[in-house]
Amino acid sequence: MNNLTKIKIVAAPRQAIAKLAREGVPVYSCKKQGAYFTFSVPDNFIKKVFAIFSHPCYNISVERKSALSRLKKFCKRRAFLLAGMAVFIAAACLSNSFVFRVDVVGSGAYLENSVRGVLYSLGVREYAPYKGLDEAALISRVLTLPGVTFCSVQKRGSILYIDVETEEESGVRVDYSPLRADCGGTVENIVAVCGTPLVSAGDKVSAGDALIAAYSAVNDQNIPCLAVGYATLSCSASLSYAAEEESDEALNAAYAAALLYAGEGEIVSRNYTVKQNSEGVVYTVDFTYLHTISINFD
Amino acid sequence: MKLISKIISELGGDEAHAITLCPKELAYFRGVKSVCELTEEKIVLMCGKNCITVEGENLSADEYFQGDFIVRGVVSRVSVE
Repeated sequence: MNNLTKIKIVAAPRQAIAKLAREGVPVYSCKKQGAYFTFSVPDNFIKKVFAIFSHPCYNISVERKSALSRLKKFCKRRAFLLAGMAVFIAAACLSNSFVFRVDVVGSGAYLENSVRGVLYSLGVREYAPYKGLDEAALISRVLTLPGVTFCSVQKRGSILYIDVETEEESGVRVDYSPLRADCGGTVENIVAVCGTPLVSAGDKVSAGDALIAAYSAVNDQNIPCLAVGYATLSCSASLSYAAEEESDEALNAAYAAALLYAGEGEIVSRNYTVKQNSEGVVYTVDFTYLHTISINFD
Repeated sequence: MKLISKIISELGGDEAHAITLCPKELAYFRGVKSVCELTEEKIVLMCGKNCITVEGENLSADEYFQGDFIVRGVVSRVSVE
């Protein structure tokens, strides 16, 4: 950005340059344009130039002010606007050193409360100055939450974004309900990682009974939490299988039907009875199997 | 510039009245006392007792201060009389 002002004068170039040189005025970009002679001088010589050519016979005028003086004029005219911009920029810079909002995004956004808890424990709070965050500690602790497979932290402006992704393909979702028995039987064992176990080994339960409650008792108060754990029930069942005649193959098929019924459960005892009827025989298999149910636990 | 000054000095020339010429671009004169003519085709300068004539196209006095004179344009000929 130069500080040269362009001046236009009706005068002979030779005479004008001689006058300017005599007075020690540096001149630049001298050009003859028809009757006019144009030249540029530094801003601080403008008054001197006008004094040199003060005689009325010289028709002298400023053709274009220097970029510097135009900028000064612009700033002077829009002082309030510039002040407002300066205040805005200062406020924006200042707000960058604060955290005004925490956004938990991604498929694990439903874990926001837990993530916020971790964040607060690391000393980062909303509407407070941001003095940096131990990202490694935050990420490692968030990754221990149920189903979380990915976590990243990014601060943009005054907003802290925490991207939490959970295992979507396996369909793992946090279940806030208690663990309930899906069939009647005897509790063989129960493990409650989180929550309160409501039964113990040896207890008999019916289908629908709560086994692990979704709360923890702290100082005689029930504080809601996730129920995490599993229980193994010893269940009994009876199954009928029809065959044309009594044979080892038919018996094996009846046992196979019992295995299919138990699914992933382990059959611990079984026996059968055979009854003859008009169409052949009917095998009745009575068996006991171990059935494991879990909640928020792989 | 030091090299040019040294060459001028070795040749016994006067650096205060040296002429530097960049063909087709600009010419730089020192010790200019006055400007006798200033047109786009011709610029005549007085350097002491010498009269320097610069000829070319689109000539303009780019700078003139304390005897230093820069001519910008397509300089095709410089003669000293």
